[in-house]
Amino acid sequence: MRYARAREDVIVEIYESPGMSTIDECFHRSIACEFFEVVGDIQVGWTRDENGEWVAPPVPAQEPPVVQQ
Amino acid sequence: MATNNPVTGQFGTGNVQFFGGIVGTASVASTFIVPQGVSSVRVRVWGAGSSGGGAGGFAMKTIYGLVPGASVVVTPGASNTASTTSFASSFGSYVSANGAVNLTGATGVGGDINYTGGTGIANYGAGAPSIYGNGTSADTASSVGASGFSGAGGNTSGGNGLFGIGGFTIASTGAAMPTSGLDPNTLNLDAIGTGGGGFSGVSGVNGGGGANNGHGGFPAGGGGTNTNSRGGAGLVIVEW
Repeated sequence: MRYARAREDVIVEIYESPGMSTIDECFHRSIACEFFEVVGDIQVGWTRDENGEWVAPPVPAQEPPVVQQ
Repeated sequence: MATNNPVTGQFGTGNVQFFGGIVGTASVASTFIVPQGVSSVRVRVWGAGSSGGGAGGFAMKTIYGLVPGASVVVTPGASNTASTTSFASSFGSYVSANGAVNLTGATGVGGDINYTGGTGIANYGAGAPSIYGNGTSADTASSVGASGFSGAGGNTSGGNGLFGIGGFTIASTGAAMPTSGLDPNTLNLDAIGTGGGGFSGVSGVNGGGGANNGHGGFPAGGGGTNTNSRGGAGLVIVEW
């Protein structure tokens, strides 16, 4: 199963528990309680939007190509 | 003679298994299978140090009532290369140690003893905790890592650990690399996390903090807080 934990609405860790084990079997309860189960392609660095959904950070705008004179 | 001393000395029949963390963006878990004839183990856990300078936590616990053949998930925390939040290490739900977050040292949880990694400062990583106590924080006043259980990184001199010596560079005498304090002729698990800190651009060893672009020593040392540094990975040791 796939879990994540976040700080200040930013995903800081993704943890894949081995086999069918749950997060409660992998960490002491004081750490396990910080994780929540996630589905899909959530990655480190994703942020929570105004609807409470996890979204990928915006892709930085590309610099326009430099035109040689 | 075998003992079940929960703090120091050989535990059980002296068997040891190490689980070391990787350098990467996620921890990789594995499994410890309780051997036949074994119902108790002693576990030492270090969380990973942060590239931001903080050192990982430490915990140690003796666990009784295990069933031979049962499996326990073991997670050695990765040294995170993607951000300054580093990762926790754990022996199942029994005992864990947090990874450091930026400058702040992390703590162990659930152990018979729980210690905290030192706090880093800009450019200087903190020392890891060990069985002997909390890790050493970096020292801003002198730019020399203070002495402690693992030395912190410093500018021209890294701090001494309890057993290891901090590295240094002095114009009149030259430079010396930090030492681990580990005796290569013996397997002294108690000396893990007691190494010396690095100096400018040099990594700490055996839990010592790094300085500038130097990495934190494995296990759990804080990195030198520059872009190219990283914290020491986490470690889980199981004895039976």
